[in-house]
Amino acid sequence: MLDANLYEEELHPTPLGATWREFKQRHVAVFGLVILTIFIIVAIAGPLLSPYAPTTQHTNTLLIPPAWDDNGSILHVLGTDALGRDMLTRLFYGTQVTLFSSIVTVFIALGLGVAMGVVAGMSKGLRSSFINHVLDILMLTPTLLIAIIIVAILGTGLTNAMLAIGLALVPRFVHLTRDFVREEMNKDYIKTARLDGANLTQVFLFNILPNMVELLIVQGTLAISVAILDISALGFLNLGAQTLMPELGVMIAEGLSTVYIAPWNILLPGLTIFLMVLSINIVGDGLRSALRNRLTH
Amino acid sequence: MSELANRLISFNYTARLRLLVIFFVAIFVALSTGCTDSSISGTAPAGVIYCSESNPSYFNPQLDTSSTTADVSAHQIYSRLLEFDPSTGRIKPGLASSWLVSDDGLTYTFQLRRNVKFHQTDYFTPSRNFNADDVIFSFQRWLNDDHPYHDVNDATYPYFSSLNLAHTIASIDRINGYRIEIKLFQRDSSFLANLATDFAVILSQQYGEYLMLTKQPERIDFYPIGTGPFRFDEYQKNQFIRLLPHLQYWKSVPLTEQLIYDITPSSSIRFAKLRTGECDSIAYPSQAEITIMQADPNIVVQEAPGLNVGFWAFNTAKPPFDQADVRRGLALAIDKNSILDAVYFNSASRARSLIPPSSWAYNNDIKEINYNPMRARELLDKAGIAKGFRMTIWAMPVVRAYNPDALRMAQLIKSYLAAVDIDATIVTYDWNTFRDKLNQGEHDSVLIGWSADNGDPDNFYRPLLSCDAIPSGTNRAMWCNPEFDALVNSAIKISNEDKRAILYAKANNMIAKEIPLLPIAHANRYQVKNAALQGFSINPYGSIRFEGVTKTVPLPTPSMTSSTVVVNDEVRP
Amino acid sequence: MITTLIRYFNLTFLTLLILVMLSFGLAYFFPGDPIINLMGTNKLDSQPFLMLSSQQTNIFMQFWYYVQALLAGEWGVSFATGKPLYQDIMRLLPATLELSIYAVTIALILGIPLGFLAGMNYHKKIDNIFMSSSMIMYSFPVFWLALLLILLISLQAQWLPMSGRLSLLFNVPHYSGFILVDILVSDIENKRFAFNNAVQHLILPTLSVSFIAFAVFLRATRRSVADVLETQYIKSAQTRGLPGKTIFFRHVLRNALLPVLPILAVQISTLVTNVMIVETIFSWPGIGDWLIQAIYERDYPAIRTGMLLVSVVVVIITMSLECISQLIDPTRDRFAYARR
Repeated sequence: MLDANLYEEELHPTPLGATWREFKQRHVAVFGLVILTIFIIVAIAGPLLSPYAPTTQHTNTLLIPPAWDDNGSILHVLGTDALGRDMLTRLFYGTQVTLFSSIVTVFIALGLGVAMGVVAGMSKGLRSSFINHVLDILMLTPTLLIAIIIVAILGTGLTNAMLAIGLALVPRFVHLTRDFVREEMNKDYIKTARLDGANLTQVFLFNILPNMVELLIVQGTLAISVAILDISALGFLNLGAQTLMPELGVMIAEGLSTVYIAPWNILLPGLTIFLMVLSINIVGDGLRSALRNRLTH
Repeated sequence: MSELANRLISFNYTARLRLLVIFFVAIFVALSTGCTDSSISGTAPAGVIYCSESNPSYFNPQLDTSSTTADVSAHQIYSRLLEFDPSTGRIKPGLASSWLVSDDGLTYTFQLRRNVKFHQTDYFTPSRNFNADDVIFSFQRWLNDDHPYHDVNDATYPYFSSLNLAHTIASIDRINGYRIEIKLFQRDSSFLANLATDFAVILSQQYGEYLMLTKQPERIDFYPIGTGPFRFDEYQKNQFIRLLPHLQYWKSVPLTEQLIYDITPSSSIRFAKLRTGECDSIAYPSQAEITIMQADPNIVVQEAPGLNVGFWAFNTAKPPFDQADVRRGLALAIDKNSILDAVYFNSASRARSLIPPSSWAYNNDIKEINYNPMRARELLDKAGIAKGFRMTIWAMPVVRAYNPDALRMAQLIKSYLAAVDIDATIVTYDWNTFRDKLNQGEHDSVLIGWSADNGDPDNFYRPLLSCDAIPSGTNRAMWCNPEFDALVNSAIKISNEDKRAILYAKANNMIAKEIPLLPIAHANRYQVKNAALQGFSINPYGSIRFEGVTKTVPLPTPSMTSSTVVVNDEVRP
Repeated sequence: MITTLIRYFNLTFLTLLILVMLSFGLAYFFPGDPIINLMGTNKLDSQPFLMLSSQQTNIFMQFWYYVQALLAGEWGVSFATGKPLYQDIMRLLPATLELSIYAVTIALILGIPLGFLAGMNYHKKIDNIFMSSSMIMYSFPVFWLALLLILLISLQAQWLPMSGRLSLLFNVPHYSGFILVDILVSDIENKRFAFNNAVQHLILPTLSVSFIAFAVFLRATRRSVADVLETQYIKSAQTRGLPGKTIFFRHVLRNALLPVLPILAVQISTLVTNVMIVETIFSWPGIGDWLIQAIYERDYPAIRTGMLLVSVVVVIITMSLECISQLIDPTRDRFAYARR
């Protein structure tokens, strides 16, 4: 690999680029990325790809098994549910609802978490102590409990479930940011910047944040997988998205009533969640090792 | 790290670690197989487990028409003066060993059974046998507004008030300790049948007095004392109810050593438990799974035409549903046949009127509403219902014989309504809240139904659509029509069935014209049970009965072949 | 060491106080009358509750009476059953703890040794197998996994029961709330059989919870072993020619296990969520199943008390674990901010 080495010295790839190079060398990780990309495409283009609407009830084709079964129909490739709704269509929409709501949740939690983490990391004394303490309690409280409390106060619904999961995710970003900022603040390049007259906001935006991006990407990716699991679990427990919404957890809960005559009604949505989470975990894990490798080299 | 050093450490210790892991795995496996080894001698305690669908509201069917309440208490904990013979539907003696009706049909005299013992439990020990005082206590509780127990637990006595029985009975008198006399204001051909329903149970007057003395009268409906085959032992909400046999039960029938209601709200989980043998029988088997159960050699499926009706009721007290045209328009938009397919899996017959075809009052020439969305929209336009009109469909959260899946039915109806540009929202709550809110009339329309308590057609008309049934919470359409009331009230004063049938045919036509509710289906009644369960049959009249039900234990444990307690030292032939 | 203990004690106390305040506040956030939300009924006649509901009491005094009531075991009554919450919770909490303890124990017993195995073979075949299978394991949605287990093992194979913690036919008197203990101390007939039955009921829920926890512990241990093996002190120990045995037991084992304890602490809250979900699926009569029922029924006193109790248990366990790991390894100082 003499060429590659030469290249690297000539090009001086950006840190992000270097991480990407490391990542590319992991075949499993790339495979995970491909699957994840397929999921994202499905989530975006699902409404265009799907032959039916997710709520259309084909009342004369109820509980049709998937096409590979003897009783299956090519019109409904993955079968239909107890109301005659096309399974494939519902999986497309379900992927969309579950994946996007998780991503939005994580983005909001990340934004909030980083902001609070910076304050906690740059401040000292009582304020820092207070933020940390409240966050620790939040972190110690199981997600499901937070969700139960929010549902009790605000009622059920996807938005409330997202709020609960977002709240539960904030502390991990705060801790991450706080520790990172603390560590960096003592480094020479920050001191140099401070001596140059940069204020704290500038130091964060121009010096610390660029160094944090990769860390946030890795943690954010892994948080998305947690959010997917939690959103679908709340949907399954009827505490999140409500019936009629094609959310994957809700679909599993609905499929329960016909699980013996139509097991695909719980197997397929579950498999979708599983594959989605798995691909995100593979990508996140790949990114993390790539980052670690780049930093140790 | 150097490769050599890595080897150095891992060479010795991975080997050891592997051993360690194998050791742990071996312990784990040994533990789990050792513990699950079925060859260890011993048997499970005997008993019958019935997987029920919900929590009973009370342990007293006087207070509640929900079959969840009646299933636990009506035939297990209590007895009635009269009973229905499950096979013929005729009325037969219960706690009253015989009775006389005067020629004018206004005076009923009941001779009571002697030596009937009340339950002895850890919370009450009765000191006397059942007698006329208990009958008077039980009847006065709901009859008499001034009775000390009348308002206990905010009771409304829905069944009796829906039939207006309190105003039918003129007096109830004790003639002697074992004879009572009931006088009516007017003839009522369904009176005896009403006394044999699930709800006319006999409580203990002595227990009532004891609770009053100890200032905890509300316990009467939660820690019940009755004369039925089983006594109350323990109840954990959302988990289980345990009943134990009443060893001095007045009938000599075999009773199982314990009767357990395993509260399992999900019908698929009930079915799963039946298959794994965790339940011996289940409440409300899902129609979709009946065929699977029929194929299972360990499960017996019993089937009988049901005395029930599932319907879609409109809240006629709420505009615009007070207009018959709006209701007709909505009814025309629905295709009943596809609902029968999707919800009942064809285990029901299409309902043309309130009463099922098996009833003697059924008439074939009733005009029925057929699916016609075009005409539906026309009618709605005419009534001034704009496109995009929003309404609610309330779907009951529990499975009932008359409606195995109200939520799914609601979704189907929602899609049919969408086709005529009506935007329906589905509303549901847990069962008790749901019924509270229905009683307050918060709904626009509701998917619910009715299972008859006796074979008399009156049992459909008056509880479901009479004015008196609105406050008692069984008239879900909130429909009050004096003409209809007069019709059904005159029908019960006649004893000739043919003449009554003519009046009910008129009532049917009135319902078909006004459509306070749209009858959807008469579901067949199914009961599924483990093949080892003996003596368990469908009770077409009212709730489930466990007296005489026993379970034969499979052979590997020869010490016990039949796990029953025989009361009174003799088994009924 | 004493300072550490005192510091953790203070921290735990403060956290608990905040939790009690939160639960008091919840009664005001929930729909309906806050006093009714606190007590569950207006017919209670215990001293603190009477004071709490009297008109003159201001909010601070109310809080004070609320704390008194909590400490006296007067937790109000449930909307749904009208029964005292204290009894319900004391009956249900042990069931949840029992399930969690068995699940964590199994996950630790299997996860840590296998994690060592993987870490010692860092980036070799066995490590890769463990890493990929554990990745698959913790990607399972716990409710789907539980349903799959029920479908395959309970319904298809009919090997194990699918709901509850003991066949309802057994009537085991309540003693500790831990079903296995209760059976052993009870004097029912067929004790052995009841014990087997309880173990059979335990297997599937325990497996569902420990499946995911196992993967997490395995990965954490493996990471920490790999990190320790990279350190200078291991290398210097090797250069000094210490025998592998000594290196492993004196340096690797201790140092690699240290970071695992805090990870266990962090995992507690995830674990509790999973236990609660698994409880509802297997109808395990524990606090999770009960709380989820309570939310369906909008039983606010039950939600408030259940939430308080579960978080108190979680806080106490987590804090003790943190405290222990701090005592073992004083260089770690996660709560440094609280000392300033």
